[in-house]
Amino acid sequence: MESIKSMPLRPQNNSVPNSLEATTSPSTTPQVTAPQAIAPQAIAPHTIADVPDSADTSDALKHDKSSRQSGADARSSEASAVGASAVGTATRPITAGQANTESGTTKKVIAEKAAARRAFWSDVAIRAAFVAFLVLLWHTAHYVLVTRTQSWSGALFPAPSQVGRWLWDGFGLSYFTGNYDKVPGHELPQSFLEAIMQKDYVRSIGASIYRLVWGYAIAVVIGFPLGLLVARFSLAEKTIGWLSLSLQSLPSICWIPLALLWFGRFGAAPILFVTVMGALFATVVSVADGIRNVPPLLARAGRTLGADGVRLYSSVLLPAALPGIVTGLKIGWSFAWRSLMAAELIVNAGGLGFLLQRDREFGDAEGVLATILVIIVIGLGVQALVFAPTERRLQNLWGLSGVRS
Amino acid sequence: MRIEVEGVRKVFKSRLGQVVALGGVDLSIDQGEFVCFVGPSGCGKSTLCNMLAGFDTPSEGRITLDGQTIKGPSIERAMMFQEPALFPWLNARQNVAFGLNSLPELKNKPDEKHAIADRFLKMVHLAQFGGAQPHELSGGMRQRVALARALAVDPKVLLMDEPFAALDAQTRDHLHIELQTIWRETRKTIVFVTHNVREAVTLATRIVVFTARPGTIKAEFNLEELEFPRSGAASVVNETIARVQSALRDEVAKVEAREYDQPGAPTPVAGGRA
Repeated sequence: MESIKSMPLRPQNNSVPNSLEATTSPSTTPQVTAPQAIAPQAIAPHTIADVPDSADTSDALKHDKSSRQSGADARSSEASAVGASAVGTATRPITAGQANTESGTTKKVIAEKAAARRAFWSDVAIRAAFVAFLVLLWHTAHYVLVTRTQSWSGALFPAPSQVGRWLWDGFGLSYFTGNYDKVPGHELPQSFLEAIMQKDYVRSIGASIYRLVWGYAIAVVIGFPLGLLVARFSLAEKTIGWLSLSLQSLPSICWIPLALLWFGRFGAAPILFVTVMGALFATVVSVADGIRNVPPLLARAGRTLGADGVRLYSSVLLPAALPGIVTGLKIGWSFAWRSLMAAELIVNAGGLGFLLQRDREFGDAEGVLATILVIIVIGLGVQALVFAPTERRLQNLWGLSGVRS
Repeated sequence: MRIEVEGVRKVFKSRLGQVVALGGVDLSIDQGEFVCFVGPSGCGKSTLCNMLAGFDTPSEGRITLDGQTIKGPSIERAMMFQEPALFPWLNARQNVAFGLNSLPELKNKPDEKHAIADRFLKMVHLAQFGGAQPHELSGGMRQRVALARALAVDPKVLLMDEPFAALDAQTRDHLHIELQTIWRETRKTIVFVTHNVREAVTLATRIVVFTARPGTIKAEFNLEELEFPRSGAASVVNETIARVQSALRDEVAKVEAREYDQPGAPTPVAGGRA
């Protein structure tokens, strides 16, 4: 069995007879050293398999196979470890076993990180290629419909390059390239910072994000405790929970007329109101769902170990509901973002939604398209920078990952 | 430590009417006993275990521990389930230390909790795995962490509801040896629910056989004289298994008569499941 550890990866079939040996002779032979030295594999079933540094994807695939094999090994050797120790003659070479595992683990961690990096960049490459394909499609359509057949106006259906130029200028980057479009009512900028501040996008993004953060924060601060109440008390579920469910199905844009009546046509207040209303009920419903979906057995385990009342919530139910809650917060965020854009379109108070509306009024289709792109990229960015890492960390901790190949 | 179960009945109301799960049980359990509840499925042995844990209350009668009526769950009566029910966000050591947070004398003493957790992990031979997350452990290892977690709070009685039923036969055998060793070292009072007669005879100092629903106590077997370890090769062990099985046979037949179409029910194999 010792040979599994030192065995090179490639001759795969060697590990099979080894594992068979492990399963057939568990407790009867007091092989104390071997199972104990091997048992730590189970801590991370992939630990022992050495991934060659220059491993390509096919190597990674093989490695995956072999790690599954060693997982089986670990289980059987775990069983034999019990047997050996129950015999009571165990003098365990823990240090040796640990030393081996530690160096193996470090190697493994490095290999895993490299694999994750490769996977990340291959994802990026695939998406970049897909986006390039879409742009090419768009360009071709523009060429056919506008340039060749002239069946559509170029002002209404701009080419990707036009939208790109709009974005370039809108972020003030034209300050560097000399084709800076002078903003009416402003001097030519003396610095890049000035250029950015004169142009639309950075300011508008700032305004929108600022409102989003506030609106979302208010929705979470109110919605989270309400969700807890709904999960805990059936009276709250029948009242607040029911109300949240019904209001969640109300498109948040329906709040706008009321917001305008209450808070006026200008300023951030009506926008904030709509954003909060858009995110609040989704948050309540998903937090309550997250807690309700906690396996009852975990709650029972907590209670039999003396956790009750507040401590049952803080130390069992909330942590157990965390994956559901994160999903809920994500849903709440996307509701808030959508409501915010809708509100900004109608309420005259700046922000990205306002840009959409203004460019429509000026007939700048490339401006509208450019702003849509910015809104999409922000959505993707928040997902990639905030929610994806959180979810990934949870999955790693809980062991929910690895379902995908 | 003494548990008294006095005239306990348990009635469940369901869509089909009332189901009497337990039909009057009297039982007392003393310090240091290893009591196994054996019975056909649906006989209320798990229900009784749940009531001992405080998850459920008797419809009639009462259950006391040292004279105090059992009202709810408590670390005095830590329970282990068929599933390990480890907290997936905590590592093995933190799982074992979880119940220690309920002990006032250990409040704000993280080092002591850590040390106690390590001691119990060592007891189940998982000393090296304190830092492992539950999903990194095998099924048997998880159940051993659960055992360490329940033992760490030093309960007056350890309740085990078919704790090894979901494990493969080999792992189960090893866990029997392990549990037996721990029980002989600690002399912890244990109530162990199983439908497996061989498991009961391997572990128990006393076996309580339940009748088919409504569950009552059909027979008790005192196994204190039977020496540990109880190998399946010893004739006296096999005789005991046969005796317990014969007490159980009629009850299993009753359940089968009730749950299968009549006639043409399969004749129960001698001794039922074992």
